[in-house]
Parts: sequence; structure tokens; C-alpha cells
Amino acid sequence: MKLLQVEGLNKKYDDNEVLKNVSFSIEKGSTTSIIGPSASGKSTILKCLNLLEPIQEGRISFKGKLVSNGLVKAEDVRKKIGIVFQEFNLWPNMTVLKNLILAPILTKKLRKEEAKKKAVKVLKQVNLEGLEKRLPGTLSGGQRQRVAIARALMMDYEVLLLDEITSALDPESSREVLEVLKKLKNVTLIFVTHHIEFARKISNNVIMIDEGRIIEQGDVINNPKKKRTKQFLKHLYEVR
Amino acid sequence: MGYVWDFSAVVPFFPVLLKGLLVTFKITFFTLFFSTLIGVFVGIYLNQSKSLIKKVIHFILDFFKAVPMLILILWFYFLIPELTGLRDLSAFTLVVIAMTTNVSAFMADFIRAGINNIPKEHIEAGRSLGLTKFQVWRHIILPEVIHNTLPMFTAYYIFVFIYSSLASSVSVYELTHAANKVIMLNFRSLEVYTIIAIMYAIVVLPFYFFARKLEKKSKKVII
Repeated sequence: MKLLQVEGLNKKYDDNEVLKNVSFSIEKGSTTSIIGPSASGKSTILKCLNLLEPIQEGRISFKGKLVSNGLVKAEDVRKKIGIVFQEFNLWPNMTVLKNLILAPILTKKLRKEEAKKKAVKVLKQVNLEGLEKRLPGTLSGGQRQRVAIARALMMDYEVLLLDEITSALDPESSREVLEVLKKLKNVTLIFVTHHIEFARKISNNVIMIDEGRIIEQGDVINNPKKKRTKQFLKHLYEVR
Repeated sequence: MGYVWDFSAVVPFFPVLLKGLLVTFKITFFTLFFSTLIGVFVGIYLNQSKSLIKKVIHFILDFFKAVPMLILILWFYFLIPELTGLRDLSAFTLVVIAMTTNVSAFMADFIRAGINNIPKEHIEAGRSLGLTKFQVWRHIILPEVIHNTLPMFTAYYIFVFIYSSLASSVSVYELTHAANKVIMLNFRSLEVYTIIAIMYAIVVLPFYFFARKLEKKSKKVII
């Protein structure tokens, strides 16, 4: 059984069709990268998987259970499938520690002391030990993104969606963030990324998307079959 | 410049002035209590609703913000007993009602703007972590609104304390009114006004200090 199954997904913002008949499936423990030009619908896919965006047509199933029909509580799905955003989306008025422990206390009913202990452990995992009392505004971009990842790790997600998490970072910070992610175990990862080398190294599966449609999926970076994919990759390499 | 200062003429009246100060505190406290309560509810409502009622409320708020506080106090002093038939309402109560209309209008606006200014990403982050709508309001939106608006609120709370002196216009026995009474007895207006100016300042200055500290602290938070 596939961990995540997306079938015939259609998504519109008013009259603007952003996802057209998108279908794919995700194996447990795999790492998938979604690549494609800007505004092709990549981030929207992640938001749909996290049920942050309603869909007009199609089905999203998690562990064989349909979750996109409104009958399953979105909050319950979000306890299993988490997302890390490009712009970190940390709460600026809360310390790093509070950013980390708020959701587990409220949603997983963790005791405050337990949550604090776990936060210290998770911060160590992302190489940010000792920063518990700092406010996000006093941290660098790379540190903030690692706090955002730590916040997601606190939730013990089964699937972690990562939305262009290195786009706002310099190469050094990107490397730090990606190093942390490489070490993660027991979690299924879905990246939206422009970091093509990283996608090649870490992914078992790559999905190429353009104008809301999946162009192809599989070993797309090493062995592109479609003209549009080749053109996109060529352009990326030229820019680099 | 030949004026001979004589503060000793004020000393016997200190208890009267302190009693006046206590009434000033009471006016400030009740006005702020009701204004904050009304302001928070109306501010949240204005943020949620898109109906015609919202436009009507906006108009009412703008009206109360447009009328000078002194006029509101004098107007309500005569209007409310006339409208309600409650002729034994105290001047103190009427002043609190008049000031509350103006202050709660401003508070509602602060809250509405404070909620509007919260980036939608902060809310989205809460939702994505599995928090319910109520939890997002209680643990993310409201603390951030309070944090962002607290320096402004503190400044406005000081303003209410200072403007409570206008209650003297309808003979409420607050600090300024008490001072006027003392002057009628000892004819030492310069000394009395000097003393009450210092009394107002002693109460208010620590709050300004506090407001500035808050402002500095909130600057650190900005990402």
C-alpha cells in the first residue's frame, strides 16, 4: 500500500487553474522532489497535501484512507503530515523554545516539561543547541530555517513536506539545512526545490511539473525523457 | 517676578488633593476596563464580519473619534439622563460612559489594525501544525496582537489618565476639580497648579518609561 496517493487533483484559485489532473503516489520512507519552473503549482501541491488549500476535484489518500473529502478532520491529518515553509513562518514574538513546544503541547497533549526536554534534543539534532531563549528575529536565515525544521521534527511526522526551504538562504546556510535533512530517519520527505543537485543526490523519485500538469516522474534529473523537462534542466544548468 | 511662593498654604489641603487623585484613578480604571473590553470584542468582530453592520459600526466609531472628549463629556452629561430618564445617574458614571465611547472606538481600531497586520503565514503555520481555529486565535493571533499593540495601548492609557481632568467640567471631584476647590479657599493658584502638575507627572512618567522600553523590546522581534 502506498503511503500517499494523489489522483486526478484539480485546484483552482477563482478562475485560475493551478493544478490540472495531478496524480502521483509516494512510498513510505521515500524521498521525492518536485521540480519545475516558478508558478507551475509545486507549492500548491504541498499545501493541498497538508489540507491547507481546498481542492475542487480529485482524491488525496493517506495510508489508504481518503482524507480530502472533508469527512476527516484536517487537524488530525496535520498531526501526521507536516510542512516547512520557504519563509520559515516562525512566530516572531515567541522564543525558539516556545515556537517548538506550542503545537506538541496543544495537539499531542505533551506535558510542558516533556516538550521542553524534547525541544532541547531536537535543537541539538539541527545543530542549534543553546538557542532556546532567543527570539527568531535575532537569528540568521539559516538558523531560522533550522528552527522551522526543528518545529516540524517536534511533531514526529510521518510525512514532511518542504517548500523551497533553501530558496531564501545563502549557499552556506542552504548546505547546513540540507545536511540536517539528510540525517533524518523514519520520515517520508517531499521537497519542492530548485536545488537540482541536492534533489538528484537525495531523491528516490522526482516529479517534473509545468503549468499545473505533471510532465513526467521517476529518474527525471538523470534521465529526462520529455522535451520540456530537458529544456527546464538545461536552463537550470546554464544559469548555474 | 516679585511673586512670593508659599507652598505651606497648600500643605493642609493635601488630603483633598489626594482624594481627588483617587477619583482620577477611578475614572481612568473604569474607562479603561470597559473600553478595552468593548474595543477587543468590536475589533475582532470588525475583522471577521463583512456585513452592512460592519459599515454602520465603522461610522459610529468614526463619529465618537471625531467629537472632542470635552464635548462628549458635556453632551452625555445632559443627553443620557434625558434619553434614559435616569436622572439620578452620577456625574462620575456619565463621565465614564462618555469617555468609554471615545476610548473604546480607538481601542477597537487598534485591535482591528493589529489583527489585520498579522502576516497570514503566521496563522498558516499554526493551522499546518494541527492547531484548531480557536487555538490559533488564542495562542497565536491574540498574543501577537497584544505584543504589537501594547506600546500603543500604553500610550493611550496614559492619554486617558490625563484627559480624565476634563471631568472637572461637570464637577466630578477628581484631581483638577479638587485643585480648583483648594484655590477657592487659599487663593494660591500658582502653587496648587504646580503641585498637581507634579502629581500628574509623577504618575505618568513611569508609564512613558515603560512604553519606551516595550517599544524597544518589540523592535527586536521584527523579522
